[in-house]
Amino acid sequence: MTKIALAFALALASALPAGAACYADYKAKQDDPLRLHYGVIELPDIACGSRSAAEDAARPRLARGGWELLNVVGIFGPEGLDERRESAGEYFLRF
Amino acid sequence: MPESISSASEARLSGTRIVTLGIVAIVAILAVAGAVLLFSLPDANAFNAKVERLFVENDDLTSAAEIKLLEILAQSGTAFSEVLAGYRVIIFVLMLFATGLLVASLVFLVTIVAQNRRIAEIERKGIQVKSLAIDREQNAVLLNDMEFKLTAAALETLAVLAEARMDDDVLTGAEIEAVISGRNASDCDEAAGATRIKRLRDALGNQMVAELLIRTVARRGYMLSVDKNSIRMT
Repeated sequence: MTKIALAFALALASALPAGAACYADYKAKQDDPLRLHYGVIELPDIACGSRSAAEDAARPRLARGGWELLNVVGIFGPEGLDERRESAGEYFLRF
Repeated sequence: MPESISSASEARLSGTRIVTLGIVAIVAILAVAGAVLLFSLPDANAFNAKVERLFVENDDLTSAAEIKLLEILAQSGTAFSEVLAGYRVIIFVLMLFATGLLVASLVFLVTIVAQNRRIAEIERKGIQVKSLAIDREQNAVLLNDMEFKLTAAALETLAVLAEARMDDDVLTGAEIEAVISGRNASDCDEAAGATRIKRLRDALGNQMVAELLIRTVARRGYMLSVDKNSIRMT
């Protein structure tokens, strides 16, 4: 029983992308017409230090999707994912 | 007479200057006012920027429903921008109307002032001769379209004076006599010319006073052609 649980935990851990040390939630917009979204993005290790580092990392990735980053609300670890999953909706770990 | 003519044309000249300056001032003031009005109208992006700031400043505005609501707010603002464009056109048209009306009223005002001044001038100067036409065939002179009959000799004197006036010349009695008789001026008597002038004045003056002041009312008698309110006796 504990083995199964362990294996499950391992599988879950390996399913998460390698090097994803932290996550950030952010706000972004599109102009004409104005569209807004709140999303969660995963960040590499080097971008976890500060909010501005996280913004620098997230901005080009959002821009590729046609969105302009407004701000990063916070940086958090994997434990914070669940509570934000619902709010982020389709933008949960999309970019 | 020439004095009043020149002052009247001076008044017209200064009137033209006032009208030009006034029109320029009116157009400038209204253009500035219109520009200020047009540019102070907010554009549609003002709404979007406000909504965006709301979104950024409130960290807990994160649920999908709240975000949707914000987007709808911004869209209604954008819809209002079309109304604003309509307002701009209306303001522009009203400005054009206002400019036209102000220019027209300025022109009318200046015209009325100039007319009043001219009328006052004419009233002060009494009769002002605007046109003088000499009709040799009928031995008549037309002053302001009033016809006066003259003798051939008096008409000749008037014609000589008129020609001299056109050349801005002043004639002595001897010169007048010389031109009419065809002799040399040094051979002519000053008194002969003076007599001609006196006869012309008598003939013309008599008729002019009859026409303008002491009228003959046919088969009834005589009457002063003066407004009765302007007669005062002390």
